[in-house]
Amino acid sequence: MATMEDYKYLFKVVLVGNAGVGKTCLVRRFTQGMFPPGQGATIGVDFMIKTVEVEGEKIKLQIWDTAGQERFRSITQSYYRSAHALILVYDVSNQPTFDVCPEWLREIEEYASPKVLKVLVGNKIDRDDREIPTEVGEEFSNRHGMYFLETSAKGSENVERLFSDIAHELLQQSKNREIPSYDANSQQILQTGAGHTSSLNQRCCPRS
Amino acid sequence: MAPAGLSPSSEAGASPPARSRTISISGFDLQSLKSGSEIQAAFRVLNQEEDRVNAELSQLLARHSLIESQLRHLSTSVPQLQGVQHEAEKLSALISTTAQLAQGVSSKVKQLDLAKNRVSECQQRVNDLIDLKLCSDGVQSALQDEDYEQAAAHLHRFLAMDEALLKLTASEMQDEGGAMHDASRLDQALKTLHQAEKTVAEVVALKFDEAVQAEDLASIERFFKIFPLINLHDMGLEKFTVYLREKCDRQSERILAEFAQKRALKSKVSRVRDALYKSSSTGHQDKIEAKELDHVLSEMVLLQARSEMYYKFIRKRVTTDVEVSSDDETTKKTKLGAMEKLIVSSGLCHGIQLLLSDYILLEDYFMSQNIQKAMSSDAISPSDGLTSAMLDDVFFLVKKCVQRAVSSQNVDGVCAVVNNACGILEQDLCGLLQGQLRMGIPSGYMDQAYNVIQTSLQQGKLHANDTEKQRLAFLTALNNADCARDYVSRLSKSLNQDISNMVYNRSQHDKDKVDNCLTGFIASSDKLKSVLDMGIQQLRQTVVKPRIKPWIESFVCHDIDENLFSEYEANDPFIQTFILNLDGLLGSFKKSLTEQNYDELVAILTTEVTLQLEKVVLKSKFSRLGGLQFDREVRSLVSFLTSITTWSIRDKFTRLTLMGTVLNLETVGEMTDVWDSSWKLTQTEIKQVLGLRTDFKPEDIKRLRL
Repeated sequence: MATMEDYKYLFKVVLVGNAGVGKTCLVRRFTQGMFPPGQGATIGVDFMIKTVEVEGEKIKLQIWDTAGQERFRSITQSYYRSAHALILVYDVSNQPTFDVCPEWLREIEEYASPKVLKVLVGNKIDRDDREIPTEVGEEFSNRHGMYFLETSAKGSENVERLFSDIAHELLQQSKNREIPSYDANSQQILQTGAGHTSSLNQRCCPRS
Repeated sequence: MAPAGLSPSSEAGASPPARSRTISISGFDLQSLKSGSEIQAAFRVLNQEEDRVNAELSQLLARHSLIESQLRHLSTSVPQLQGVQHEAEKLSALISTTAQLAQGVSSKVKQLDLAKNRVSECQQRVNDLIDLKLCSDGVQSALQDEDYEQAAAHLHRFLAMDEALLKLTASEMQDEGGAMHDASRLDQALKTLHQAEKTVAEVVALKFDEAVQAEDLASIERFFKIFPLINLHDMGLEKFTVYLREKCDRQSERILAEFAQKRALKSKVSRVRDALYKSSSTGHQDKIEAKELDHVLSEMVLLQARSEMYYKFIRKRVTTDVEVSSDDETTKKTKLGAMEKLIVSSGLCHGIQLLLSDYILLEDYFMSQNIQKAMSSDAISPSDGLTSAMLDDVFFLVKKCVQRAVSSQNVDGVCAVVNNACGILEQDLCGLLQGQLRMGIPSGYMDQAYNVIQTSLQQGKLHANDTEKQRLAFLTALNNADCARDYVSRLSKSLNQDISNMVYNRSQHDKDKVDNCLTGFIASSDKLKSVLDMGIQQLRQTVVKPRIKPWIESFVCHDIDENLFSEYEANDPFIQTFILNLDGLLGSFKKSLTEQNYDELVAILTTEVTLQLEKVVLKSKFSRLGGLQFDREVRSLVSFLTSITTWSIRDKFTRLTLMGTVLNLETVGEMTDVWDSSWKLTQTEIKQVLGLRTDFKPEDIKRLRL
């Protein structure tokens, strides 16, 4: 049962972006502390769990690492709606992966909750053939109300920070009751907008 | 035998004095023989002794002759034994001679055996040489005749030979000076055969590829069988499995293409996309009907299930083979990883992924369209009971769709459909209910007339007016929300079962993935709960609060004397009517609410009653008897509310009960006796309540310390 689990909050984080920008590597670096060379393309959706501690609170991050290829779009789209945070990743050394970001944003706007935390991530800053300067990414993120960070899954730069910042921000939102989040210990869920708490249906879906 | 204590000397010497001495030793002390009878007894004993000794002696004498004859016999055997010894020595000499002889023979046999082996080895070599010649000739002619089996058979024979030995033979032949010609011919034959081996390998590989190109199954099999003959087992297997895989990819591609064409999948998908994204702008022309998709969806699921079955077969076979192999763990892992990579990169997998993508889109459309239809065609008919038929339809559809996805055996497919189902429940169903509840419940004083109207409606006598319709719509939505939570929980439970059967043999990772998607139903249930709470709040604001207010306001002044107190006892001024009103209000809802919603209504009513009652109490004045009166009133209210609900409402009355206790005190000083730290009234509140008593002095109250 949820009460037995060692976390207080559960947030869903979904990574999107073109194929090959390093979504899986970011997740692997964060959850397993490694950089798997020759990572094959993700099939459908991959899934990882990591518990982080923010302000003394145990937060469980449920990370959904989606496939970038077009043919998985209808699978990945089904994960947008319940996401608390969406990480849109591009490759700083690959202009086209940045150029399609507006398209990804359209998709996010169509399927995700309007309150979702949107994060733009420029990955692979370890490479010396950079094509997109930091300011360009930053400008884009500002224009679209996104949080921005540049990372290197290979050099593990900013990876830890990316996820802990997200956890931090979501915790704040959740404490202000701006978003629903599972609160495992008290078996309660904070409700969207409503500003009051209601008890979690205990008969439903035991999280064993 | 001799009696104990009889010394050996007594047997040797038979003289009387000695005997008599012995007798004394053996227990017959002659001096102690005092009476005649004692002497008699001793005598008897001695006589017996004598008899026994005599018998012994005669026995020994009787054996004397036997012993003597035996001794005689022995003395006659002595010469015979000497003879035996002599014979034995002779025998021993004979045996050692025989052994020497045998050893000689055996060493000769060994030599013979060695010679024989060498001869047969020699024969083998000769045979090999002869065969070599035959093979080298044969392989050439077989190659010329394109008889690759024959050529391969010759090569197979050649490959079974010890080539080093053949070369040794050749060099020996050269060393011996003679037959220089033969040696070079042997070298030539070897060269030819190696050349032929290369040629056959090349040709067979080529022919195999050609056969694959031409899909000539007989030739494929024919050439596949040749590979092991020329020691190219791995190459043959590699080529054959690649052929199978490609064939599988090609066939599945053909099947999928044919399926897509026959079912007009592309047009369906694009029509669905249009309907989903452009419905608002382009209107409804050519809008695809959801029911058109039912059949094709089942077929799509079947195709996925078949491909999953194929992967399962491949995985099982390969895993078993890898596991029984002698490889170490890392090699096994690498091999299994390579298998997964092959599966994932196969054309079949790719094709199925495309199909899955379309399936998820169509299934989502099917589910949402049908649910929309069910929701929009839902007419609230009072005779239908507390909830609407729409709800059953909605959950039936969700279950049907998710179960269909489960039967595809594809984890990603199931996850996506579950996600979409949760989305539909949270957005469409909750949206609908929320909308209905936002319309609110008419605040008119309908409850008195309600039962009459309800009966008339059921008998078809009266058309429900708009207010009544609105009221019914609201209550049905409230019941629907409550019932939907129950449905969600049941649905999730039953799907959990289906899915756990499906992922039974899958990796933990897959199981976790599906489990985490299933938690989406918890969120759906919580969303329903928030909708329900919103409805209950509406009920509180528009029905409960305004109705209770005037009833509470008739709370009379409790500064009463004895006369009034007894009159009130006979003729209650407030609480009876109040309870009656509450009963009437609740009664009008009891039949139109689910049990849980009714309990919820009682709960908000109770909260409202206690809040308002507290306010009105604090505005009133109390005498000692008035306090007693109030205490009674609270008690009857608690017992009434307890009687109509299944849960305890007592804790909601804690503060009022405590106020009753305070108002019921004899003196201010008693307060310290009844108070304890668990009280839900603050010190200020207690003093405020004490101040309501007209007979308590303000300075006493001020002085009170708790």
